[in-house]
Amino acid sequence: MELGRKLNAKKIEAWLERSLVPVEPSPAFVSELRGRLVVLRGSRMPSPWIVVLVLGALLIIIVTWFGLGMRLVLALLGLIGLVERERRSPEVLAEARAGQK
Amino acid sequence: MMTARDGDEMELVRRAGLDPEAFGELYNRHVGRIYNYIYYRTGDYQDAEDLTARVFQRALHHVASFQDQGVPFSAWLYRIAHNLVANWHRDRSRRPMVSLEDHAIETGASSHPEVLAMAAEQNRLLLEAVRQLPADRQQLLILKFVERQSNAEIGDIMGRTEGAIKSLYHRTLNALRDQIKDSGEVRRRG
Repeated sequence: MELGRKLNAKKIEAWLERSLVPVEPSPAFVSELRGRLVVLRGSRMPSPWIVVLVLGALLIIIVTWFGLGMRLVLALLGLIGLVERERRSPEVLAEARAGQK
Repeated sequence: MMTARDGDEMELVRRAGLDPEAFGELYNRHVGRIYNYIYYRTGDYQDAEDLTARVFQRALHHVASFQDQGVPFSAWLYRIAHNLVANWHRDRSRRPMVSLEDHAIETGASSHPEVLAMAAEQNRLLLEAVRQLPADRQQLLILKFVERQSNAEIGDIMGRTEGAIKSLYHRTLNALRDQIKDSGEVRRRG
């Protein structure tokens, strides 16, 4: 190849000038990385203790809401039971009286 | 000698540990040059983006412990980049892929396909030879030709005197010439 012949420092410098030109990173990459670094402060993995704390807090919230839900369901069932008993009580009394006769 | 810009930069570095905007400003100033450095060391856009992101993430995590010893902040970033690129080469233990023909074509003076193809081939050959050089010589060439830094500035970044940089530069050109001649010989034989 001709390139290897008659090479001197000046030619190599000129060649380097032509080949080593600045390249631009894509604007999307630059702004996305800036967002990660500046807004999310590195978007690094949270420490295990943070993960445990968050999971624990989530568990407590779920259990609390579940307990509240269960209480509401039981209260509703109790209310339905009361209403049903009230509705049935005159019939039961009438039946009891008829039985006595 | 410390310039006003250096003083301003050190002030930003001091604030960057706590103030995201200060780190953002440092990022804006240096992301292009770090990307260029990594791009020319790896030869791949994707790897350059990945490693650039890792350089700045590492810098963010350690910027609070940065100590001003009269060395520019960019020297610290280049050192991080240098270490990550070295790990990258070691992990892959392969020659980097060359995907730099694109800008060779863009910079070509002619649009004739044959001339463009030849320019791209010459470019590829040169960049292959550059990547065979030791890491410090590659860094010197990137700082000199891509970043257009003076020998004194390169000396600040690389922790050497201006004279040492001049001497390293001449040795680098000689090594590059030998490398190109060797690869030319191999091609002729091949």
